[in-house]
Amino acid sequence: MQEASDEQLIKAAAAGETAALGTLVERYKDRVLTFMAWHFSLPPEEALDMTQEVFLAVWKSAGTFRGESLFRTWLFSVARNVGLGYFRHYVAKKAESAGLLFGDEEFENIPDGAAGLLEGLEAEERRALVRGAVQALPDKLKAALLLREWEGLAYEEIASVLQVPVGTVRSRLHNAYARLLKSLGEKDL
Amino acid sequence: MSCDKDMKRDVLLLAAGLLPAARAGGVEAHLAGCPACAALRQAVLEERAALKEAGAPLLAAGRRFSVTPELTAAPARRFAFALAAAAACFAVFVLLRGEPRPVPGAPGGGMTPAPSGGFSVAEGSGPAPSDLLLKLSGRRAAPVYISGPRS
Ligand SMILES: [Zn+2]
Repeated sequence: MQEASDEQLIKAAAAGETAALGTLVERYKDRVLTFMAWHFSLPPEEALDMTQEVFLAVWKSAGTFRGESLFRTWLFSVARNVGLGYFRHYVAKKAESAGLLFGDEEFENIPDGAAGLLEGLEAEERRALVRGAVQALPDKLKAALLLREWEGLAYEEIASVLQVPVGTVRSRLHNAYARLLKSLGEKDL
Repeated sequence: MSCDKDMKRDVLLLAAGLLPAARAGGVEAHLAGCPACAALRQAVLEERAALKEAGAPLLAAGRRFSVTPELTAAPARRFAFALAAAAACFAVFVLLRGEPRPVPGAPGGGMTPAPSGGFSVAEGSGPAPSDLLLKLSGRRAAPVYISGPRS
């Protein structure tokens, strides 16, 4: 039997099937946790509390998912809304405005490209190197990268999730790729 | 030598699938005659492939999430939140197993409607976390235990 899609599961959850919600939680809990921690610059403990809130909100509003977007896009929008609702009373949008601190509309300089930077490395070594470089990025850039590379959202969808102009998504991702190129280029082999 | 900042920016955006289509043609034409920019594009493509291969460095919860029917739950847990679907005939709550600790703030259900028209989130609906459980009648679901990664 084929595994149920996210979209099938959220519809089942809307109809009251807790097991369907459970499957979605299982699929996405680490990804939502990571998104909350990065996008709102939260320590893991708080991000975990927020992640619970996100799934609570998903459950409560499952009936409003109309299937006009991917479930993932909807989920991360709910996550961002939950985070914002929380911060509205807590630190008054500090997390949202923090984006400006590192020049959200600026495109950073790109080092001269050298193809084959990661050639000749063992797969495990390469993975560790790349993960380390990602970890070192500013939180906001990591959050955008998560949505783009690992959740596979188009940049217009990311803009809709984060409620920022597409230019901001472009600059965040651009800066993430540029910084990664730089740090991978500087690696000691 | 290398090209100017704007061209390199566009080359990166093109390789990352972020360049507006209207600007793509000009950059493609430039790439055909510029080895430096072609190398940059290749580097970005390799970088993205390496990102995919490495996978997201996800944070692991180190605690357990569980989704259980309310009847199996203790009534007043700090980490219990009511979950109620409009049409649902039973209540569930998400319970975080772990030592209690203070909450930094209440969420208040203040979610803003989602923007794109593709979906929406009800404003201010649902219980405050202190309401813990919504009593709903009806059938009982089997417990679903979801374990996070052990840390
Ligand atoms: Zn060039």
